[in-house]
Amino acid sequence: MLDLVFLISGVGLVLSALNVALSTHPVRSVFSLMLSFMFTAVMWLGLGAEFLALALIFIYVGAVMALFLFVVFMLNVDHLPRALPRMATLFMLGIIVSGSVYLLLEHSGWQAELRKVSLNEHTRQLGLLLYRDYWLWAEVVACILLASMVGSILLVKSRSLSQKND
Amino acid sequence: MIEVTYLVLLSCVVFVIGIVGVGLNRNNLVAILMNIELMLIAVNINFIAFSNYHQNLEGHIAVFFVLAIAAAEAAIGLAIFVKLYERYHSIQADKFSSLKELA
Repeated sequence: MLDLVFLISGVGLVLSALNVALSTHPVRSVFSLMLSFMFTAVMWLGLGAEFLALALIFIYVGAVMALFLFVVFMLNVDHLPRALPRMATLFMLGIIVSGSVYLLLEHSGWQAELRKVSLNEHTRQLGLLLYRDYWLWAEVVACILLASMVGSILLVKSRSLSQKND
Repeated sequence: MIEVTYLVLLSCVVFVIGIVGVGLNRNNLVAILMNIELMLIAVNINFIAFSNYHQNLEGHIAVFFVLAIAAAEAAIGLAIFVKLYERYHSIQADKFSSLKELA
C-alpha cells in the first residue's frame, strides 16, 4: 500500500517537474510546480515528516507559489524566445548524470530499507530539537526572513519614495 | 517497505530536470527561479530520505531551514524582477547587459 503511494507520487513528481522545465507557458509551469510540491508533500507524509509536509503545502503552495502566480500575471512574460539548439546537449547531460547515479546505486549493492522516523509526536520532537539545539539558527533564519521582507518592500517602493524626495 | 536508493534516484532525476530547465529557459528569469525551487525540493527529498535512514531528526531541521531561506529568496527575486520589468519592460535575461564590458 505504502509502496504504491511512493510509486504514484514519485512518477507524478517527475512528470510535473518535466512539465515545469519544458512548458513554454509560464502559468502552466507555475501550476505544474504547485502539483510537484503536492506530490512531494504526499511523499514526505509517507516518510513520517508530517510537519514538513504540511509546512510545504501551507507555505509553499499557499504563499510562495501564489506570489509567483501573481508576478507572472502582473508581468508580461509569455512566449519569450528559448534556447532550443542546446536542448539535445542538456538532455544528453541529464540522461548521463541520472544513468550514472543509477548504475552506481545498482552496483554498490546498497540495500537500505527505509523506516519511518518514530511517528509518534514528530512535530513535538522537531520543535524540541529546533528550540533546544538549533535556537540560534532559528533566530538567524528569522532575521533573514525579516530582512528579505523589508528588502523586497523597499525594492518595490523605492521609486515612489525617491520621487517624493525629489 | 521503500528503499533509500529509490528516493536518492528520484531526487537526482528531479535535480537534473531542474538544471535542464535552467538551461532551457535561460531567457525567462521567472522560469529560472521556478527551476531553482525544483532543485531545492530535490535536495530536500534527499535530506529527508537520509534523515529517516539514520533515524535522526536533524535532517528535518535542515529541510526546515532550506524551506525558510527559499521563501526569502523567492520574495527578493520576485521583487527584483518587478523592478527590472519597470525599467526595461521585459524580464528577458539577454536584455540586461549594461554591466557587460563594451567590446
